[in-house]
Amino acid sequence: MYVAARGGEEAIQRSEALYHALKGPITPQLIQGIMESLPYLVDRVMGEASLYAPELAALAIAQSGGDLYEAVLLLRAYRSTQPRLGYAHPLTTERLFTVRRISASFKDIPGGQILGPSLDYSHRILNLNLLGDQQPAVSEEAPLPERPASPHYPLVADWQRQQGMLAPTPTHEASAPQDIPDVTRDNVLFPAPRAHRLQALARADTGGVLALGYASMRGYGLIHPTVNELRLAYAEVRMTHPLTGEDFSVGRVRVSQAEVVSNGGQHAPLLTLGYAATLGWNEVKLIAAATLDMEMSQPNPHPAHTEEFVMYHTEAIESSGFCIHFKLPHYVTFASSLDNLRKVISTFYSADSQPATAPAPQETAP
Amino acid sequence: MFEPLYTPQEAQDRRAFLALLWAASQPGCWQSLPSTAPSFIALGQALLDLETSFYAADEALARQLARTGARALPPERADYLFFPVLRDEHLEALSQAQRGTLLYPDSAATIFIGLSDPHDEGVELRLTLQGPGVNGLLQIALRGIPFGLWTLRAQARYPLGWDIYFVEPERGQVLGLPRSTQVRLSEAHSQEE
Amino acid sequence: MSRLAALAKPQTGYSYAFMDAFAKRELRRRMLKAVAIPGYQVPYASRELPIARGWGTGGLQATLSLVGPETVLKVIDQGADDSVNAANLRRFITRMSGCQTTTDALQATIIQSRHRIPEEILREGQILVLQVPDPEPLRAVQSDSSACHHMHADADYGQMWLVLYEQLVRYKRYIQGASYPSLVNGRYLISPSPIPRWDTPKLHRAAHLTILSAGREKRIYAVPPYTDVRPLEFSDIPFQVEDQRTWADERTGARYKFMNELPQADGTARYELSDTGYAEKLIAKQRGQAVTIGRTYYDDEGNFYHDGYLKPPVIPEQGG
Repeated sequence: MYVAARGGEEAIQRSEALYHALKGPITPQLIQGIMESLPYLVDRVMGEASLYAPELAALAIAQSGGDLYEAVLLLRAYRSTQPRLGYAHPLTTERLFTVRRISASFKDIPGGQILGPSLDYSHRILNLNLLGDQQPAVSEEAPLPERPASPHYPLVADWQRQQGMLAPTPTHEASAPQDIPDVTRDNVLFPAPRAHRLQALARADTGGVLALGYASMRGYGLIHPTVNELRLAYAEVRMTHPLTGEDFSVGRVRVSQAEVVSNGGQHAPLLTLGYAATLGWNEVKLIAAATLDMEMSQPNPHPAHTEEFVMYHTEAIESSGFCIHFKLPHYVTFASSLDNLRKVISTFYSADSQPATAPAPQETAP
Repeated sequence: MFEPLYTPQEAQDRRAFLALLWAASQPGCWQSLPSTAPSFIALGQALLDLETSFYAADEALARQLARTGARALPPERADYLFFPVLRDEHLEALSQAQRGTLLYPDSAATIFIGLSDPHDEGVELRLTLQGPGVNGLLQIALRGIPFGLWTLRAQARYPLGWDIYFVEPERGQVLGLPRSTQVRLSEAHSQEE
Repeated sequence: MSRLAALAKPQTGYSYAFMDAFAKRELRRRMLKAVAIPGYQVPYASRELPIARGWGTGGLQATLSLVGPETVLKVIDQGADDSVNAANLRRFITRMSGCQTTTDALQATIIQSRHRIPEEILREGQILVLQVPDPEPLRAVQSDSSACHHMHADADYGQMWLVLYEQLVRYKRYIQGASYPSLVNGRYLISPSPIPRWDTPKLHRAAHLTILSAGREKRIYAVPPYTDVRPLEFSDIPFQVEDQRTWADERTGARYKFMNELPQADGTARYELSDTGYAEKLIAKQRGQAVTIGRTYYDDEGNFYHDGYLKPPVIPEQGG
């Protein structure tokens, strides 16, 4: 029963038990398997949760039965319980251990086009052989090169800046870490500080960012993006030890970043740059997000590409949570509206005629 | 499932916060602070951490408050100002405290002012309070505060202004005077005269 | 490669009341500001909780910042203590704090509610936490939240009066249902959360403290005790609460309390009290059990306890 007299708690427990009964058991092997075999799924969940913890992300995916909004919520709720113990040092692109770095702007770039791990040019054919007992083909093992590739690559944008095609990088004094705006802790106001915008995009819902970004690319936007640079990398997270004062490495995280440029943007005839970065590797989200970053900086963006519209409506947990909250009972508010409806009917509609002159009531607030 | 632990620190922080919450909700009514720490320390620990800033007019107190991780800032930038005692020479610092803006009235400073021993000499001021949290009118008497405080307080027009909490460390009590309270100085006399 | 579990210290569980000390302190700081500036929406860093966003996480964060072992908690949704959503929130709060629970509004020290204020008059020292889906009363006239923020800064509520005027012209009455926009302490317009109009007057010069918290929209605001709360109304066309004067609770015969209307297969309707805690006590009393029933905001003739606050309705003329 929906509003169960005294049965509320029991109903909840049975409902949850049934949910778990309809999927397989969660074992350490399953969690390990998700972490090792589904890194892109794990990355997406970690990125949207803004919490880098592959094992916990795998657990969240397993525990939610693969419902990604639930998995992201699990991680974010866990994140709420963790105190902020310190601040990592800033990272620069040149210091990243880059494994994939491509540019659509030029045929070749300083340091070379590094294809790295990608399915871009694969044939999307289901390998049905893997369904049976047959062994996978051995050739999937990548051969080792003769000498290791360089881990560090310069920025394409730096070359463009040298050429005067792009505005110079804005210079500002280094902020104390506490002074850097933090979208998870601050009140979000518009126009938002750039830090808020980029943080919101970094943790935004992949599908939501894609939908709005795609709308821009298809023609609702003002500009045609060119992928100036797309990078997948490992970043070393460095901190200063609070007691010894020494720098040390906390570990490595997977990160990705994208830069798109357009000559139709606010800096025209110079190129305009859009940027996005996130924890984990998530290329489609970043290209769409970098495009949105550029759109949001335009003087008069399309209504769907204003900062407020983009940042509020691509928030994975808020949007999904509010959407499903409509499953909750609303009969008190509905009764309040019905009361008005009945009064309006009795005022405008006599018993036997239907003058139908009263337009449908519209309330001023939900 | 685990049992959540209500630690002594947790209890102290919560009690100090509840004292402030009721002090703000019932202006002019004394509320009890936790007895497990000196009043100003308990208040500091309940409110301050590395995401906040403070100014303390007293060196020793400033050192103790800094342990919360909060940044010590000059009075014109600090979120929380602590005056273990308020004398005329402190009014210059106090006058610089943020009063908020119409867009962000919540950016105004919160100010803690220690009251010396109630039997101390000094001017006793009788205040008549009115406004949110006060059922009708409320008369209170406060001793040992420079008159200049009231002049400074009156310079901001609601919704701007300071949220002031008077602290009696001896008794472990706090009394709130949020900016929403209208104060009328009904009678003033000095014991010295 | 080391596994995370091997590196991390053993899982000893969560902080008291789930949220870590930083989150609680932040919310407490904002709550103090909210009380000091009645009706002003204080932005806060709303944390994700183990309950879906939009399901009461704002109210929950407020309650978790307030709750302690000695707290006596009541949680209601649509007035009901036993709805699955209320039961779920109550279960979470008690699990995380070890507090006591009650269905009796008089016994509770904290009442977390979605869409209702209990029928019995709350007293000094009680805290009512209302869950808020949308804190912005100006949303319908201005969807841009920064513009709304400026309107509040300037106390620029002209467009809201225009909306009411248009309603009068078109429908001969105000047609706002729940969350009726109200002016707090003569300065800030609030959405009193989607409580029915029946409950809005209960906020006016109330003895208890009301905290309104929107988790998704990250805003917290308050109505301190003994604070003026006035629904927007023109002086000649008064604000009106829902008209349920012909409805009586089928189990107790109670009238002039907010009712749920239950449609029946034969085209009629049955009625029951929305406030289940109050209904429970009325039934117990009728069975001769010892129970304390408090004075209610509306008496059994429908009179509101602040004399003169609700004005008699102006009946619009028939016609269209």
